Amino acid sequence: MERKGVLIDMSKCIGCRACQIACKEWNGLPPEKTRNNGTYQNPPRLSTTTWTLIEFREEAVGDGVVWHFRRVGCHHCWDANCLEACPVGAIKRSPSGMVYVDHSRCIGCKNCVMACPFGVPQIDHVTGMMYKCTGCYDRIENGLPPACAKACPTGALTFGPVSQLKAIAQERLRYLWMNGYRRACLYGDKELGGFGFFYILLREPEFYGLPKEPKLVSKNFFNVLSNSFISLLTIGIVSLGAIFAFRERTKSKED
Amino acid sequence: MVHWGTVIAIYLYLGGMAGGIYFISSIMELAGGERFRKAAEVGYVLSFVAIVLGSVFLILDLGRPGRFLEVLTRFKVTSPMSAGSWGVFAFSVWSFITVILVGVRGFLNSVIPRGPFVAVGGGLGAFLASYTGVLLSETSIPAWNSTPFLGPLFFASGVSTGIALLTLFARKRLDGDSPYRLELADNVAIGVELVILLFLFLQLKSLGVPNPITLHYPGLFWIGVILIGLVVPFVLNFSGIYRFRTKGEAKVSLISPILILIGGFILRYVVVISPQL
Repeated sequence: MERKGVLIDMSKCIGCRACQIACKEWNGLPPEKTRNNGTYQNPPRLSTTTWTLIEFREEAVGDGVVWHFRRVGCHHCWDANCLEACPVGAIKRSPSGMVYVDHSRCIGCKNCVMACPFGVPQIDHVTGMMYKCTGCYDRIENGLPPACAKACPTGALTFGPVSQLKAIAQERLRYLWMNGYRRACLYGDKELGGFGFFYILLREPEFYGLPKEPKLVSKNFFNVLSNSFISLLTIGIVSLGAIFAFRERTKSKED
Repeated sequence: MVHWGTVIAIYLYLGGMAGGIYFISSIMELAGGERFRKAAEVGYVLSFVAIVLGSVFLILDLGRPGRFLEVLTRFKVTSPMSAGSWGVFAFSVWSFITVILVGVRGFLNSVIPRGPFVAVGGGLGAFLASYTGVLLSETSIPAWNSTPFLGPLFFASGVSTGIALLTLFARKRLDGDSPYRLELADNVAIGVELVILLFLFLQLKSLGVPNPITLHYPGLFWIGVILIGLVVPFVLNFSGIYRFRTKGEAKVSLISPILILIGGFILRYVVVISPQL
């Protein structure tokens, strides 16, 4: 199956949060009790029952305020740190490329939480397991778009084969540049092997709280090797020191 | 948000100590010979007890403790936690067999060659003590993943806390100059640990942010880890070494091992918790 994905075009998002609701509907996720804390962003953050969230960033421009939206959720990275870090193989990839949790396997070790550079995996303290966006692989594999992309009224979420989405994104980016959005950029087209859910952002990634260069952790063998090498060196030095401390030397004196 | 909390810090402490005790006990009898055997045997028993206790904490931290055996149904090279789980398993089995064989007098010498057997166990112990640091490095927490020094740091601390526990429990079997030799080995470990901490902090400096390890617990770190856990024991050990060199008397000191055991736990606690806050 060809790798599928969603292009998240932040220049088209109006912050209606239809994607949030559609996600909850399809996945049977209950609403959360929240409080008004002065922003339309609601719920305040991802949780075990909120897998897709529209973040509202406010920027003061002149006398008014400009909103910057971002869809927060799993990016379905090709080099998925969580998937590689999972010691029991509970995080899997569907034929369409979506990264999801097999809850019959998850042991709740939280290694995926530590591995993800975007803070996506959420731990439920009742079941003890990790929950996150499934990429609606259950819909995709049956010929339907993900619930969020289906619900989006403005075309900010476009579902399709990743190769096609990249071409659409390039064209849209050129259009944005020509129309004065000089800071617009792609994010996730190359990062971590390319996301399944990647962005057109109107500002640099850091503005949205995204790491500029998300690190590959588990598959980074150079890192493991350098770590192991310095560990081995230290083990060698301490061994020599200890052998020196305990070695038999009284005999020669007695002779 | 802290996902790996106090329970994991306790596991890292006990696991590091278990590996460190076996490691130092094997070197003790391999390099020092017959007269260190009895003390080393105490060490093997301690290492087994420590890894069993440590594993209990490790399993309790899981969201699904009942499924812990799942980790032993596969091996993933990309997951340090998978490699580590196998390491813990191998070490537990090895130290258990050691305890049994040591109990069956003479068996370890006549049927299984004792030297190579404890040498392999020492190697497993060294892996166990260091992997926990590598495990932290393979995450997206900036303070952990930007440095290769956590593995070596936990190893050195595992050896030092291992020597401390061994000194406390085997003190009646430490005759002649053996207390002096333990102090000497301990100061090698403490010295190495201090040098690694220096490297670690120099490297964290290059991140351009306040040191994430000391940021939230500066007092606990500088007083608990550096002063109580490393500098004071180093000086106490040194005075013991000096006394032996000048007067020829070696005595077991109880203060320095206790301080090391306290400092070793605070080290794990601060390194694990602070960067997650």
